[in-house]
Amino acid sequence: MKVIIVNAVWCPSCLIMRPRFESVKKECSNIEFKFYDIDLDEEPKLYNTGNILPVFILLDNKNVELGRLIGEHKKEDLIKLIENHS
Amino acid sequence: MIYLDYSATTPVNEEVLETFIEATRKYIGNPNSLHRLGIEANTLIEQATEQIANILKIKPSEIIYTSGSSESNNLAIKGITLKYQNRGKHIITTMLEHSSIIGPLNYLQDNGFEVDFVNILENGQVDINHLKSLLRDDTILVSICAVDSEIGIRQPVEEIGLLLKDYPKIYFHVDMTQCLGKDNIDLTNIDLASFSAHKIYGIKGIGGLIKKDTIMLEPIIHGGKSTTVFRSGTPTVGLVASLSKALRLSMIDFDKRKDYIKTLNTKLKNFLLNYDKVVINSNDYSIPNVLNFSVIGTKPETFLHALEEDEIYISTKSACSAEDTISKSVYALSKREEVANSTLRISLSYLTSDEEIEAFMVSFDKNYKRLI
Repeated sequence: MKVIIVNAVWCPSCLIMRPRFESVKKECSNIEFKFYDIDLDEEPKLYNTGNILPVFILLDNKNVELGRLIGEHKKEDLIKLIENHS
Repeated sequence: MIYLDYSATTPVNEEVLETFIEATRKYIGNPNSLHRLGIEANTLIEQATEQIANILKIKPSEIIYTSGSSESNNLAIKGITLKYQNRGKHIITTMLEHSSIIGPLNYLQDNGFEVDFVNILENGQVDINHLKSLLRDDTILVSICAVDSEIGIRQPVEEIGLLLKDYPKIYFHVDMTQCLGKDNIDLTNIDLASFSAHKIYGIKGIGGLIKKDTIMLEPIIHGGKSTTVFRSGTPTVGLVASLSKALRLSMIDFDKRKDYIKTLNTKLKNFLLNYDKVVINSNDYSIPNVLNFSVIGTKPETFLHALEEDEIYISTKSACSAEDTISKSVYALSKREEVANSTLRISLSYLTSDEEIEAFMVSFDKNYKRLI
């Protein structure tokens, strides 16, 4: 599995979520995490991110989306999404 | 042309422009030069600085000239945190801040700093009790805007400054860009304050950071002494003189202008409340210059461009936000995506006429019926 996270430098919710993302990343060391900036990177266009940031997208090994969480969430919600697909 | 986007920027006042042209033409010397031309240029800067200081009730030595508020905010946040990081790495701010506050905080977070957001009450103001509970031994900076650029809520920064007086190791920064010239602000207990000339009918490209003399900053632009050691670069005589002029002019008929803008705001608000799909986001704590509202079910860009066809210019949200994203300020308050997704902002001036408001109403009604 792989996690795609789309942030923006001007986004306060991204600031709030960043430590939670990092914490989940540490706990799920078997999963690859990729952080993208919506303004600076091309990749976010591939994921139809919508207009609320940040976006946390869980993909399988074939890059098929398994689920996503948008905006601010507790760390437990992020873990739960990953566990539901493990 | 009907311009109703004065929070984004203001048209330059003719007298301000004249001051800039005259000073730039007449004072050709580098203010740092030792010869007569340099001394004359430096004298003009000193006089202008003294006038600015008198209006803001601060010392001339407390003004650092910058290119505008984005630079001032960056200098305040990075300058304080990098200088005092040995004391702690904890910063407190709000969800209502401009991107030039959130941007540097993102940078600092990537470099080991911790950022907390103070809760916003239902009225849009900072929850001071929550702020108290967030203060820690390692907190070094609190940054809160005096007025946010989207909804226009006036924050109790004077009260917060008084509270933080009991915490001498915490510096208090206020982004007063949207407040200056629109509402009075007492800087007594504020350590650092950012402002920009182009929001008060001045020229784009100059602003300032007010910094108490006792506080040190790590400069962002290194290079030696300019008007202060905290921001290098040849002092811009014409811009400084024009800033002083703009600030002085912004104080003329201050209360009268404020009352006038309030009557325009009330008229607009009463008009908009007649429409089912309109939600008013600004409230009694907003300065009268700003009226933020949502037209539920429409794309704000569509409405904006429809008004533009009648040569009426308003804004969807802060001009410094990215396109196609919701209003973070309105979302922080309403928690309703449909409201935050469809925000429009009218920002008024003492230059706005009643006829312009009437023309806006006609155009709004026409486009509402067409688009809803």
